[in-house]
Amino acid sequence: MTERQASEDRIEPVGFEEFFARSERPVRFALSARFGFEVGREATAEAMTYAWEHWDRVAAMENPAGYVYRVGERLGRRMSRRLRAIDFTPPQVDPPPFEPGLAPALVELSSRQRTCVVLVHALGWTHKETAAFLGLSPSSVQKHVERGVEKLRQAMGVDLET
Amino acid sequence: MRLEQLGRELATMFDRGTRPISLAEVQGQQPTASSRTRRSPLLLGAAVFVVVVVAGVALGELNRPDVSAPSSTEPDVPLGGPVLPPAELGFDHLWPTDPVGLMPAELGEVFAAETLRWASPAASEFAVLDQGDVETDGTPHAGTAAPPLDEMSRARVHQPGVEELVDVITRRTEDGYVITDVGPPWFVGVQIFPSGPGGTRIHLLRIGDDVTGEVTALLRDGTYIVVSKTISVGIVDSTFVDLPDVRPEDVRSVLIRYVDAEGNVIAANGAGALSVSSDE
Repeated sequence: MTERQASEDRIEPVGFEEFFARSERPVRFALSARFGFEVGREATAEAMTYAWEHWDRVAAMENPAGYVYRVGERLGRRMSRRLRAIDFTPPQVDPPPFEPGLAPALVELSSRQRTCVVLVHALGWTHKETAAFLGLSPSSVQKHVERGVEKLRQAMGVDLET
Repeated sequence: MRLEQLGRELATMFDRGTRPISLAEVQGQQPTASSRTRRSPLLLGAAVFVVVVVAGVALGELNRPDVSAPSSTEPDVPLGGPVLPPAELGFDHLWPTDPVGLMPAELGEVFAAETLRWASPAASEFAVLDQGDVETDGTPHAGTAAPPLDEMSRARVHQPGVEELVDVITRRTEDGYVITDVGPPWFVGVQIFPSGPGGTRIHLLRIGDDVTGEVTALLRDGTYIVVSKTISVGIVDSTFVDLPDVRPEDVRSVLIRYVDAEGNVIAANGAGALSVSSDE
């Protein structure tokens, strides 16, 4: 099942295991975009644990994945209070597994722009789906994505064709 | 590079950068610590008449912060929760909690990087102040006879791309410099007034429309209150926050960070070790 299907299906009541299978990756991507890899993963694990412990209540929500993201966002703020910089250090392998200029370019984006760009372009979500997940308006998501992509284009010195 | 390729690169980056979390990892963990903002238990009912508390340093013209009484006909602007990573404040000064051995300009830069999340702040110290300068003089000027301890200095911090500057007032202590007040050059410090029986009103600066002011207040008992409010310049109610359960004399330090629609901090003001005079 793709992330897009997962986001469209989120209103249906599901068991925690199914919810976890659908939502772990998008929540982890979003929180990693927000706080960097280390804090993002830790915040995701803690937020998913919280959801597991309170599943009866979380499952009844209209948007459980969005709620878990917001729980992770609060936890991530606490965890990152002493960090001076967002860390997107790539794995130390040669050749690098992805475009080396991408990590420093991402840091130039605001946290909201990063999160929207990753959800829309890495997961292929629509603006509407991303907006529902993050609690924003679709037009706001569109604006963040456009500005984020433009910043990436400038920082990486490449043309990003549609 | 095509946008589709960017998406694939991003997906690879995030898949390779963060190890997936397993179901067993989640279900085997201990309960998560509460992430709720700590709230003050201060609900004491003693009637206290508090003389107006104006903590902070009003430098330059004060026409931008609104200090007029709120209009009852204007709509309430709801308070929100935290919008930024938490800021730890000092008890006897604003920031950091303990001196870190930095000079005033360096301290200003680290303050901007850690609490305002500015990526490349640059600061310069431009004045050594007497205490009198801070409290009474709208235009600080250099002094020559400042004592070694309690020497007050002023540094100006600038972040490329951010219009507002942030001035920091520093005080030298035995363990190093600390920041006592911050704010844009036209208003350094914070304005706090009593509000209703046993409540506190904290004024926000009119930085601009659709800017969210996040107020972090450290109370006397060591707890924090964090509230946010979106400022609309035309709505008076949006330019202050009321803390109905907190007496002004129980507020030790306040930092207000102003966040634009993209989540960037574009200005800040605040003060630590707020002084209070009261008649009980």
